[in-house]
Amino acid sequence: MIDFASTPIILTMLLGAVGVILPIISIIRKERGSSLYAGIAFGALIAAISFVAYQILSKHIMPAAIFSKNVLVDDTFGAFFAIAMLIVSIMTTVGSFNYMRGKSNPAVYYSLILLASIGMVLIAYSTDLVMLFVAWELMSIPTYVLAGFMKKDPSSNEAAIKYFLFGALSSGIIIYGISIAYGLTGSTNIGDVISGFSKLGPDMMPLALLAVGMFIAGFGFKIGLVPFHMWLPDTYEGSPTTIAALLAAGTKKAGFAAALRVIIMGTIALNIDWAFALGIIAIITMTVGNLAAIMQKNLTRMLAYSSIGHAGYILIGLSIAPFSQIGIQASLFHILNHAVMKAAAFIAAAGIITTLAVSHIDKIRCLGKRMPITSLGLTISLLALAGVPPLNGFWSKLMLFGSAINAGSVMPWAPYLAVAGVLNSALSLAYYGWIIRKMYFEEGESDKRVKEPKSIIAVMIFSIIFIVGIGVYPDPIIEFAKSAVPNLSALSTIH
Amino acid sequence: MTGPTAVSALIHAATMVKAGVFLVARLGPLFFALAAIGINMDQFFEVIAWIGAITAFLLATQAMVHPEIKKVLAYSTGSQIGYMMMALGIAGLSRQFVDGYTAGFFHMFSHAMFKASLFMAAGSLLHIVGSRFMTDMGGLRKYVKKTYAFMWLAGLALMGAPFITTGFWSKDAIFAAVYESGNTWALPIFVIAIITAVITAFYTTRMIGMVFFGNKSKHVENMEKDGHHIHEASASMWVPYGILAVLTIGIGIIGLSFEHEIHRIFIDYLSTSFGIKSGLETVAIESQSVLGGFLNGVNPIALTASLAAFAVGFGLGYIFYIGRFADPVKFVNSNLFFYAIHKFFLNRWYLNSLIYWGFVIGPLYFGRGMWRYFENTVIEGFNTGPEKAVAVGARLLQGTQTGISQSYLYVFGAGILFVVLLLLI
Repeated sequence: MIDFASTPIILTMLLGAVGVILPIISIIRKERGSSLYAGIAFGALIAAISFVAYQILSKHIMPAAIFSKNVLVDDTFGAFFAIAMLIVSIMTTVGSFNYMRGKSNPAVYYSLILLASIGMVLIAYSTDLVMLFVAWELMSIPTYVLAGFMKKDPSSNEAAIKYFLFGALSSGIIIYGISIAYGLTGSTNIGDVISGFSKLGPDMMPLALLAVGMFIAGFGFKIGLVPFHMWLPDTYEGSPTTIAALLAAGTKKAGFAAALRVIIMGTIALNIDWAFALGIIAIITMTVGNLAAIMQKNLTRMLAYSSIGHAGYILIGLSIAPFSQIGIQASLFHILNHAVMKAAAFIAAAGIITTLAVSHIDKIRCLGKRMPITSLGLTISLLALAGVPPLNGFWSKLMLFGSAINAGSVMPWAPYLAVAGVLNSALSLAYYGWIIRKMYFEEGESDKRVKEPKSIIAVMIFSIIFIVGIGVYPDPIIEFAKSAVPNLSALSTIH
Repeated sequence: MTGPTAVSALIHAATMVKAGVFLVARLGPLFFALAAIGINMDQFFEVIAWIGAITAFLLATQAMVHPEIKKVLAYSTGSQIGYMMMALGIAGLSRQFVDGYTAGFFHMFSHAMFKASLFMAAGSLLHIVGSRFMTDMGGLRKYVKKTYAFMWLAGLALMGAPFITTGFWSKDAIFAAVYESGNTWALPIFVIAIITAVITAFYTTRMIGMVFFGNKSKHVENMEKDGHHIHEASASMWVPYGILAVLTIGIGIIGLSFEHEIHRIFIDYLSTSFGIKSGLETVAIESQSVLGGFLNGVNPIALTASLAAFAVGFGLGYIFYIGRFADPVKFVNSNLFFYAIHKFFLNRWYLNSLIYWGFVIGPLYFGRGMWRYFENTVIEGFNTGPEKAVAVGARLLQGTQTGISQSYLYVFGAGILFVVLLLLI
């Protein structure tokens, strides 16, 4: 059943092997320095992303599919997410070069990042609900540990325990959903579940909807959908800031990968009901995220709420998925963009916190003079998050809102999603602009330049090039996202 | 206009204010060519012709009464530009586009010469006397003989003194173009043009009379008492306007053939660039016998009107300001009607005040009212609404974020219920 030459298997073996070897090296090696482990992890991730890129360019992978008879499928949908996740993992690893300096157990830290990356990548490739769940746990458990990695820091512990509590609950809920789906259809393969659902009689329909509700709640926890978001700001704020980057940019996107795999199932089987529910949740999520972010005084907490808001934007594309290929394409595009933008913003925050030991917004006055490159990177990523042209966030938001308006011909309520999205974008500029104002236009206690960590500078330069580059020339990524969208019209013949 | 005199000469006589005329002249053929393919452009040209006529008359009346020499010249410039616009507008309305077109350009050319000369001469006078008011001059002809002569030459061109000045030929060309255009508006515009020509001759004579004739003013006497001897300015000042004044007459003598030459050039230009054909032979030839063919191609009615206008304007000016047979001040004050007219013209037809009240004070009050009664109450009141709503909403949401895991879990559970209910609806 398992093709050992396929991309997900090779990625698993490569990253898994390195992830296991890292702690062993640290036992043999007596030195405390962390850069060796970071280097190895970085090398492994670069190798992994190069391999995926090679597979895509040489067309060794299949076109995007929704299901296969295997538990894993080697398709462009998975490859798209693999690229996004691996970029985030690389940014986190590089950003941690400086962050982990002088802290204990660096080898375990990098090893856990690698293991979490395997989980995130496998979620995108899974076509079986059980495989999906195993990958989900493989992603989640290392991040529970990572969130509490500063074991002497009470807020880090609080972050970890909250994250773990909710994670455990949501895992249980996902299992519950899977069990209902299995009970109704006799299979855990996503393809079989789809065809099973579509043949259900009306008396069984409420049960199918219950399963779907469980999936929304379970995946929604990781994505940060309202009302499953309560843990999110506390965890992002308390955990190490680089890990917050991984959570916000990586695991959240893995949640979307899972949701997309399953959403397509629901789209076929249950048609419009699910779409409407998701639309309402999208509006609530983006509004709550942006509204709550406005009053925040802590940089990481503000970014956490902002990522809740962005989950709402991405959900627009999912909710109109039944009738719009462009909706999913736009969602994928925004997922990749948001992964880089949000990771850049969090890692900039990590740089500020390690260098100046401040995270309160009033304390970052005059940062433009003290840490010019970090400030520039943070500014560019915030502007991209707000959707200012010509940065990449503008194009993906444009596609999202545009597709929602187009879908209005089939779903009359869809354009309201775009209206809510635009209003929220305007609202979000209030707090993004506030940070930029503090950094550049206000006098601080000191404007002496401090030495910026090289690893942070590297991440900033990469993200500026990525954000501006895709903003100026978005076509290749849009095409890539388009090839990663599974063909829905082919699926409707299953009925 | 109140700038340095050389600058006034450059921008008022030659370049800046002519730019508008030139723009119309440059684009005029384009619109006329449009008319040729069946698009009705009459309104465009009518508007231009009427703007020209009104401008010419309005500013001439103001030049008639103003006591400042440079202002007189400035109003006169505006008035002459009105003539040019009138010619260009009428060109578009007539069958012979090229006639009006040539007239406009020719007048632009001759005006550049004599008006630059007059401006620089005026600047020289300002320098000599130290005042810009003509009432502070008077009787200067004995002291500044060269300026006196040159101003006469250029002034005659402005008045349109017959046969030897460029101004005469170019103005005559305009009259002829207007008269021959055959448009319904031709007659009223022609009458306005003639009246304006009378006024032009009058105010030019008035200017020369007030500056050079009569008794010395108190101001000049005071200067002499203080030991300032009134004398001609240095050669670097009078040579330039001297040259221009002589040129005015020089070209004026060959004016008619000069005009024909321009006419021919424009016929070529218009037909090659815009395809506007002109019948060369339709130029009036009835006056061929007069003066042995010297006036070949001149419309006799326009010529007569032009001569009469010059005679009347110059005659009136001579009576009041050169011969001093009557005191203009007493004349104006003698009855209420003249007094009112004088005051009306001196205050620039109250147009400035009208514009000031209508477009400065009025909008200002309107704006203040809007600010005080509309923006401060309605818009500001509305603006704070969303702001407060956002703040309250944000606080409420902050309040839900208690940090207690148990309550978070309750919300999570409620959320599941909410989603399932949403799906079941």
